[in-house]
Formats: sequence, structure tokens, C-alpha cells
Amino acid sequence: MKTDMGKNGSLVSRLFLHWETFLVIIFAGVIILFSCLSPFFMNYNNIMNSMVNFLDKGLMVYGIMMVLILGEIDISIASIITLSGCVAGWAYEQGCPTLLCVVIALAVGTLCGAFNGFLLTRFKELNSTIITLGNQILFRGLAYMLLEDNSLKAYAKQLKTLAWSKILGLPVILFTFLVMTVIFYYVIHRTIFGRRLYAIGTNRTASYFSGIYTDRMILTVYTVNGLCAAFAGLFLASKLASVRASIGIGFEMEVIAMAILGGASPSGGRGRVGGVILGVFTIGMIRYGTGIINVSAESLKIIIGLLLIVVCAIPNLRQIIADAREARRGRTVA
Amino acid sequence: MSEYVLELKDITKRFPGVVALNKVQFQLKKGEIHALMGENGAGKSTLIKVITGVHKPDEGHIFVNGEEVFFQNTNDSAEKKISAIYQHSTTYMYLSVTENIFMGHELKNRFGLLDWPKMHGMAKDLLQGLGSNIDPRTLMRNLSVAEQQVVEISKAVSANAEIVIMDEPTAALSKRECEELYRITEQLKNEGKSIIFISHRLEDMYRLADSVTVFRDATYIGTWDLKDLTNEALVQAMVGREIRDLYPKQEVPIGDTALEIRNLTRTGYFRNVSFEVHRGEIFGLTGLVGAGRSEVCQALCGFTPYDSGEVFLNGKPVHFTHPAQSMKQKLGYLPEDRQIQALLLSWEIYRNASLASLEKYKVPQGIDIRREKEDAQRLFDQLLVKAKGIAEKVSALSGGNQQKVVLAKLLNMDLDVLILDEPTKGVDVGAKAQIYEIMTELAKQGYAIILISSEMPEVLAMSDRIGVMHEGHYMKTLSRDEATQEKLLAYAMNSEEMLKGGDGHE
Repeated sequence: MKTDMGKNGSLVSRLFLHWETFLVIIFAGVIILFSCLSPFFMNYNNIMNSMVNFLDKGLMVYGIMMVLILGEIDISIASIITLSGCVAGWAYEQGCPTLLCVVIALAVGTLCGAFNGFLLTRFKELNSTIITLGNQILFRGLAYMLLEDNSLKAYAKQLKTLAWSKILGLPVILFTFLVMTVIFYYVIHRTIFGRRLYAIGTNRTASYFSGIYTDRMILTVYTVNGLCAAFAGLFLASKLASVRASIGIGFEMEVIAMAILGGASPSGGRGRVGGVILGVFTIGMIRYGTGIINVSAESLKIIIGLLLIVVCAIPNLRQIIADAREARRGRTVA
Repeated sequence: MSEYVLELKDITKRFPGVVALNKVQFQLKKGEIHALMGENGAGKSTLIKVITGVHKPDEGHIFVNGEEVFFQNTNDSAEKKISAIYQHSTTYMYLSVTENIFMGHELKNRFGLLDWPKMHGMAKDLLQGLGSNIDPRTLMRNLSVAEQQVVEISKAVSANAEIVIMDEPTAALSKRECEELYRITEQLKNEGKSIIFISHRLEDMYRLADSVTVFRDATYIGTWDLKDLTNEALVQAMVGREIRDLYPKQEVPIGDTALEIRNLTRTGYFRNVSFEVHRGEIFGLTGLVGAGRSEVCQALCGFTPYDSGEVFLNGKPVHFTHPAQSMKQKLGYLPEDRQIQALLLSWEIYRNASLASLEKYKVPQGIDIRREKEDAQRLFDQLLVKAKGIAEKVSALSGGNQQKVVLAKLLNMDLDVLILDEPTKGVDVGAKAQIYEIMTELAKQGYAIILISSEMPEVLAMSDRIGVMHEGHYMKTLSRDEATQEKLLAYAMNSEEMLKGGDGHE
């Protein structure tokens, strides 16, 4: 983290130029705002119970984050949730044991992700928006073909512990999110794999000329992303207590919003796990808070949309401030 | 009226933390070609931007035809008939030649619509006036770099520019295209236009310029008539010290064959190319742009496929399908376009230096950053990179220092064979000499080096043997003793006359 900071200026101005600082401020602002609006907001049990409503997206955020670091995007993840859940639910109806169904769900997600990656590396003239848009429609279409308009309850009920029980006093989903955070922090910020991820997102040609297997990396990241989606799908099925072909619609945008709010960028090479955690919880707390003060789901979308645009404009403002600062300093030096 | 069409007096321009121009002078006479020389970062580009109104000077005066001017933007300078042609031209690739020429001053017919027939006709006339028969309806992207430059020049002519500024116009051109550019430039001069010409190539300057102004470290060094100036004096003025020998080639014992290729063929690119390189040897590979030199080397390293032929590394047959494989077998390639193909500009020096050899630093906790930095620091010192330190971003470095970072990346890999594709392109004289020194040192250490270069003096001075290619064919291997500029050029152009006659071609 230290290396990212400017060498000049006081601690305050250094912090000021840090993305995560902004997120902390925004996050604190959200908390304070809702605490003022509702006395029930700052309630431990309420907060813990709210986790299941946004952390299922949090479980997908690191997959998307890696995709974004590569400079790509994946808008098919919501459909991957649905298809993997539906196939597993269908398999349960055919008499497969629960554990096998879970494995099937994860395998379907992995395959879907790999399919995205395969198409992307095989057909270089197509970009990831187009490919994953196609697959978004395709995967959901397959789910409809399989289940039509039915909703399957039996399989989802087998998973109910995921959404509603606790480990070490924490909701299972929060516990899982924390474990995933640790794993992905290590992978993204500590390993050679992570370093190469950023390299590819920064300059793919130069990475290739440096002997990085860029295609293999892209394929891997998309596959992991598919797996993350299927994994999150288990929790979603558990929460909804059913699977059907219409679940999870619009999830991809909220997950991408979390990652981008957290500092990742579709132009690649940027974003840190620390920021993304804040992104997840900021949007999560907004979701929870608006629920508590009885704001409709539609208004929630407006808030998240506006927040995203404002936050994405901040780097420009920040740049303007930084330039002005530099200019002032330059003048005094000269 | 003043003697000078353009005169700059005591111009100072400061940027945050740096003085880009420090009380510099510049005087341009009517109808002359005035070369502007200096190393990268000497202030040439800033001066151009001051002249064209992109930057406002902090101090000093600018006079056009003896009258003081205060440019606020490029429109103001265009009004005074000043036009600049930049190195990375500001063309619209997906528009036609005509549209590019008339961009911003389109002609309209009496209905207020664009008058295409008239514009196409005028564009054709303009181009023909410059001796070029480019079809004005062609899309810009379908033209060669040289042709694009001709279009840029005709754009300047169409705007009735009296002062034409050319920023590194020959950087991407082949020998023949350069000749064409020289001709056009001289034609402009004969028409009474004044031209400011920026180039790294001494050759351009000797060929064209009437006078030369040298900058160094943001200061004005002097202006000379070209006929009064010796090569040594010029280089000394530019780098501030004598470069007694720009090419420090040393005799090194030549060892075993390190790399050999036999009858390498990729249809449409190159055919039956064979050569070998030995340890301690610098093998020059030359030819005109488009002769297939880079293509052969990229194929043998595994960047692109080849159809037939064999590659032997240390006597063993190999076939690489990905650069990672060739790197593992100690064969490294320095690509031609360092900014796009070699560097992560927004990354620090040390993370660039380690990018291709991360496996070396693998530890259970991830990457051993301490060792990574140590290695980078060692190479940083060894290659005399001019920067604040290994944590500085590569984007802040000059071309020559960026190239050293690319070299650091290659040297960090412990290679045996190095392929350097135009390693001194866009590098200033001082850094060039250092890169040659590094090459010599590496050859001494036993590296086998392939030097791909279009610069004949460089190839002649640095190579032990020279291979010449022409349109995908390998023409000839010449030893250091038998190679001359004329011979290389004759083979590169496959000119039978010159090969037979053998007498002095200019």
C-alpha cells in the first residue's frame, strides 16, 4: 500500500489522494445518515440479518474484480447463477443427493465461466461486453428451457442453513465472505498470478511480449468468475427457498457497481481488495438502510445509480485538485 | 521588415517542478530549413509548442515578421500561417485524405453543403503539387506512414502556411521514403516557405538543413550555419561532452553457435531464411522497413507461427509457440515499439524490470519484493538509468532511459541469446552511445546478439557479421570487413545495377 502513495505532501494530503479514503468517508456518511433517519439502523442483529441480502453479491465481487483488473467485463454472471441453480434443482428432482447437486451447480457455473473465457480468447475481434451479453441471454434461455415457469422448492430447502445459520456467531454468509476476502487478497495482491493480472490489464501487448500466457490467464479468471457466481447462487437459492429461471435478474450490475465503487475500473489494471470490501458494504448498507426506512426498491436503484456516477466522477475532481496542488507547489519551487 | 520570419527572444517556460525552457533564443530566416537538435528532454518539443501556441511562455517575446505576437492557442498561430506536423500525426484514420486535408476549413457550395467535388479536386492538385499521386478518396488508415505525412504536409500547404514545423518526420520512414520527404521539404523551401525541422538523425540534418540550433537541458547552446559545423562539434554541442567513439565495438572471441535457423518460411511474410549467431557475436540484421526482419525473429521466438523450417538453439532443435517458451530457453526479444510492446508505463521501474522473470522471486508468501527490488537496483546502477530511483514510474523517463528499463527486464531473465529490434529508435545520442556500450559489454559476457536495425551506420559499426533482407528474402551475409553502406543498401534494395556496378552510390 505504501508504494501507491505519493512521496510528497503531508499525511493528510496523502490520505486525501487515496481512493480508499473517499470510500471510508462515503461509507461513514451512509452510516451516519441512516442512523439519523432511523433508530433501528444501528442494531447489531438487524445488521447481521441484513447480510444475507447483499453479501450474496459480495461473494461474486472478487470474480468480477479480477475480470475488471484484466480490463474486461462479464455481464453474464446473473444468468450463471440462475442456470447453475436451475440445473442443480432439476437434478435434485431427478433424485440426485443434495451434495451431488451442489457439485453440479458449481460445475455448471465453472463451465459457463470457462465458456465465456474460451469465446473471448478464441475470437479476439469480439469484446467481452458482446460475448457475455450473448451468454447472459443464452444461459438464462437454457434455464427457462429446463424449468419453464416452474419454481423448485425441495432442493433450495436443503440449503437453508447457508442463509440462516451462524458460524462463530457470524452469519454463514459473512463468514464465507471473510474467508473469500482473505483468499482473494492473497491471490490478487501477493502472488505472481495477481501481479500478472494487473500487468495484463495495464498493457496486454507488453505482457504478452514479456512471456505472460495472457489467454490462459483470461480463461482462468473467467472460469473462477463463473465458479464464484455459482457459489453465490447457492446462497441466493437458500435465501429465496426456491430456484426458478427468473432469479437474480440485474445482479450483475449491482456486483459490477460494487467493484467499480471499490476502485476497480473496466479500463483495467486498477482496484484493490480493500476498496472493494468498502464498495460491497457501502452499497449493502444503503440497501439495508433504505429497507429500514421503507424506501421502495425502485428508489434504491436511483440512489445506487446516482452514487456510482458521482463516485466515478470523483477521480476527475481529484485529478483537478491534484493538478492545482502540483501547480502551486511548482510555482513556489520555481 | 525584420530579417527573420520568426524570432523568439529569452523564452522561459516552467512546468511544475521543472524549467522546460530557460531563456532560449531562436531565429528563423525566410526560405531556410532550420534544424532543431538536442537530446530528448532538451526542450525542443516545448519550444515547438510555444511557437504553435499550445503553451504560453512565462517570460520572453515572440516576433513574427518583426511584429510581437501573443498566442493564446493554436488558432492564433495558424492565423500567422504557422503549421506543425507532429511525429504521431493528428490524423483521422477513418476519414478520407480530402477530409483530413480540409478538416476545420471545409469548402461549402451555394446550398451550404460540403462541396466534395471541389475539395477532392483541390486535394488532388495539392498532392500532385507535392509530386504525390495519392487518391484523395482513400481512407487515411490505408496509407503508409510516409504517405500520411505527405497528406499532413499538403494540409499545411492548403492552409497557406509560411512556417512549417516538422517534428521527427523521418522517424518511421524507410530510406526511400526519406528521400521522398527530403524532396518535398526542399520543394517547400524553394517556394519560399520557412521550415523548422526536428530530427534525431544527423543524416536528415546534413541532407537538408541550412542552419542548426542546438538545445541542451532546456538552454540554448547556439546556432550555426551547417557548412561551418563539423560532426564532432555538433555532437559535442548536443551532449555537452565529446563522444570520441559513438560506437564502442570491441573484438570479442566468437564462441559456439547459439542460435541457428534453417529455411524458415512463413508464407506472405518471409521465405527460406537461414542464418546463425554465435556466442559473443553481434549479428546485424538489416533491410528496408518491411523486409521481414522483425517477422522472422518474432516467428523464431514463438510470437507468430511459421510454416516450415527449423530453429536450433545451442544445437538442439526447438519449436516455440509462445514467447514464454523461448524465454525459458534463454532466448529474449526486445520489441521495436517499447511503449506499446515492452513497458507498462504507469508502473514503477522495478516492477517493469521483473515482469518477465517473476518466477525467480516466488516464495510461499507470494513475491519476494525485497529481492525483486535488489535485482532492479543492481540493473538500474549497471545500466546507468537516469531516474530518481527504481520506484519512479516509467512514463516519467526519457526514451533512452525507458529503453534501458526494457534492457533491464531482459537482463533480469539470464538469457543467452538477445534479439534487439531497433534498440536505439527514438533514443537520443547520449543514451544511444550507452546502449552500444551495453551491447558490447553483453557480447563480451558471451551473449549472442541479433541487432535488427535500419540505421546503416549503426549496423556497420556494431556488427561482426551482417545479414541483409529484402522483401521477405534473405539476400546475403556480409562480414564486418566486406560490408559497406553501399553494399548493404544495394542488397537491401535488391538493386542489380548497384550490385554489378559496385561504384559509389551516394
